[in-house]
Amino acid sequence: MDDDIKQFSYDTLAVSQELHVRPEILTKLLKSFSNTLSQKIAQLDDFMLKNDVIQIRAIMHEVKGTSGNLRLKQVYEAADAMHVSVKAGDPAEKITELFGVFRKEAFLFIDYFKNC
Amino acid sequence: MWKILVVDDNYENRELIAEILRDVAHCDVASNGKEAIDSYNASLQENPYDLILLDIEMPEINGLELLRKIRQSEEAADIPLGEGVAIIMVTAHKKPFLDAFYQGCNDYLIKPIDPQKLIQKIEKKLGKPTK
Repeated sequence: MDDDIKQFSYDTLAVSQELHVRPEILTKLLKSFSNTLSQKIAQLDDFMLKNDVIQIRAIMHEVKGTSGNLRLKQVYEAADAMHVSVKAGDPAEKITELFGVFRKEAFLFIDYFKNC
Repeated sequence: MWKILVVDDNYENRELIAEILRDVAHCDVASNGKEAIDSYNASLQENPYDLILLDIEMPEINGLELLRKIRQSEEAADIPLGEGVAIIMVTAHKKPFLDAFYQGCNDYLIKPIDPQKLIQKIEKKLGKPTK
């Protein structure tokens, strides 16, 4: 599965046109979300250790909504997969594996916008 | 221009919606149920909202509770059923809408937000915006 995660790509101009928002506002929101996501990952690390499924589910729901709205396809798909798995009550091993994928996708996005 | 209150605990989501609607609406934003109730009550004194876009999943007072509170306050003010402020629920959940309709929401929208659908749903309730 790691082979699928190589690099982050995002076309700010195309997304700003799709969403009918100004590119500079979209960039501001993406930077804000990258900060929010860093905090959410730190919380998730903690909740994963505690196996706190309710909190994990709530965070993944929120991340899924925002990443989808901002058209962060890779982050959204990884968040959605993990959210579905947590909701379905899948075994901890599967959720941990999906969290690994989500974490990598999230950090690719965070690093990308850190350098913008 | 429509006058709309956008209620979402997530900063990026509420600012994105306000930005999408910038040419057709004056949007106020609220980040939780208390702020939303305060804005809603304050607007009644001067210029009431045409519509509220309401996230369901919020801490403390969630969207469904907020919807119920607004409809109850309209009932207490003798506003006839169906003539209160239009409310569109917004969420990434796909199933809670039956509850929301029972409690008086007018429509719903599933995240990720589609700007065209968002404006269509508002127009369906309010008609075209005036300049």
